[in-house]
Amino acid sequence: MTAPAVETVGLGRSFGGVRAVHDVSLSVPVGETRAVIGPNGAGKTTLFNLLSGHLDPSTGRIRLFGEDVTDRPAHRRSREGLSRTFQLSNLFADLTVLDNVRLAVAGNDPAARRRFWQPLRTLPRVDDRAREVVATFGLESVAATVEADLAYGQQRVLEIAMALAGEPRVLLLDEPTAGVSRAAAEVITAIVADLPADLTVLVVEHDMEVAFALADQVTVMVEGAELVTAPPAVVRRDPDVIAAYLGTAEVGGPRDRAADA
Amino acid sequence: MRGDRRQPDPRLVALAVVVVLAVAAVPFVASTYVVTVALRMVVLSLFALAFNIVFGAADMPSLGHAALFGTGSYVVGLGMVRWDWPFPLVVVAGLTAGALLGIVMGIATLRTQGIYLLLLTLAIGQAVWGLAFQQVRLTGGDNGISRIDRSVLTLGTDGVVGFYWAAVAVVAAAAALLYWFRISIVGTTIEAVGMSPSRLRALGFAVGSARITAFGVSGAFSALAGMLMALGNRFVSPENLAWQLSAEVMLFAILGGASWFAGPVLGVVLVIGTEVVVKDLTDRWPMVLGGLYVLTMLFLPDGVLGALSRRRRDSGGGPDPQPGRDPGPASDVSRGRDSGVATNTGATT
Repeated sequence: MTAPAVETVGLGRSFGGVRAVHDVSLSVPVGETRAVIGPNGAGKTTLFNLLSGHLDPSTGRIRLFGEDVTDRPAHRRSREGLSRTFQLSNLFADLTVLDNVRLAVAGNDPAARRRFWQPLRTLPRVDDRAREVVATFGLESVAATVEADLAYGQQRVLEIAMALAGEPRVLLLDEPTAGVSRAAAEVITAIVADLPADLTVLVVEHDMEVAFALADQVTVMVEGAELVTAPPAVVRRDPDVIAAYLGTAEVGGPRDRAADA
Repeated sequence: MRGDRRQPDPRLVALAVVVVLAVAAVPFVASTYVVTVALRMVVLSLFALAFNIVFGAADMPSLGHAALFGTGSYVVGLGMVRWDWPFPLVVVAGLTAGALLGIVMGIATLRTQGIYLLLLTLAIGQAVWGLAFQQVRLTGGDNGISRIDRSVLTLGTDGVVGFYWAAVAVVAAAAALLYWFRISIVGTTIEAVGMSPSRLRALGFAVGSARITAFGVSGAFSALAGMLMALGNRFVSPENLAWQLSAEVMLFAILGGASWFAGPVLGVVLVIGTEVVVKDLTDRWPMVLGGLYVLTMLFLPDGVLGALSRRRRDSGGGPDPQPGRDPGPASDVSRGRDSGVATNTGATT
């Protein structure tokens, strides 16, 4: 049996006295799309920050394809094939779309990092790959536009494009459709649905409909802990999940959907 | 720097050549006094360009850069006057010392941002200043080191004009190198540190090394400027290391426009030009300088180039002649620069 793409053992992180993530043990097999859902403050984003190395855990271990990466910094995990997006866009605002993607390609290309004195544009391999990514995600018309001037939906698409530019093995998507228009959300959902089958994806998603449609398995988090992991159809009917969502004030669509089920 | 990371636009190259030729022609049309003023502008321009790697590109508000500049000055003074080193050794030692001190600053400030980085670099700068001030036997303390021989750079003549041309040549070459550095992969990475460090990490770049590199390269070129200053004045004193100079170079960058490669140079010309005029009329220059600082912060937070580019954009109406170049800065200012875990709080930009 091959090692899971992402595995956590007793993973926890406290801020002061608050246990943002507590004793989470996940195992995500290679190629699975895993949705992580839960009420606000459930620790979903903290979990992602722990996985990507942007936060150090208080307890527990993280393994990537069987290898313990708990003590490796974020950029090393990225080079080993773990890519991520952020809940709020924080791309390189003054760079053009193409340069944002070029930088993303160069980051996971050891040859490019060795030729650090060359202008970013003059490495043919980086440039070709960047243009290919820009074309794949339909960003050609804005390739020369500075990122800050993009529409918000386009920024989110660019963000996913950049996360995939380095050809990762694991992709963490933190609320890819949050705050975008319905049309843009559909574009992004289609992109996520079309990701290669061998890519392992973890996605935090507020829209239950989207999460259930995309995911092979759903992990529900409540107050920093894992409540249940199961296929979407099972999670939909789980009384604990329904209770957890009914117990919070701000749930919107998900509560109704869960309550109806 | 804004816009596409292309190799230099031919029009920009042409403009740069014209500017360098015009600067080099100053001695033909102006008095010796004007040449000494122009010499100061040229040398400080290099300092400001070097400073802006850390400040404008990496978004780290250093207030200790005079230490890097002055280190170059003191290596010239000590090496040439006290120790009688051959000139090439002085140059190598000066660049190395500047780079090393820059790297030390980069490492010391690795975990800091904004106001904390500013205070820490200020403290390091003051420590270096104190060292120069107190080691009287070596540095001459407050009296500094005088009678530095600059004839080595002027082909035997010791006139200010000969040295001026040598300085223009060195600064033009250094500026071209700095431009190359800024558009290189490592230069773009450093700029990306300033915009979004957490994103950069997620893309596989080591943010810490990029910050240290920025300080190291900035340190070497700042020291080069300091060396030229010491040679030009034939004198070095703790003033070359004083924090006031660090504050002044920050004003150069902000006033001209720290988001543009040439912004700091414009800042140097404006501030030094004003200084020359004001000092002729009154001896309250420091007060005027302070006022200039306040007015810049209030009315030109993106510098003169920022204001010009916004005006062109607002009044133009039509499409930008060069899409993707010189975007108005408003969007960038109103926008949070980084929303990841390591929130970036640049204090001054």
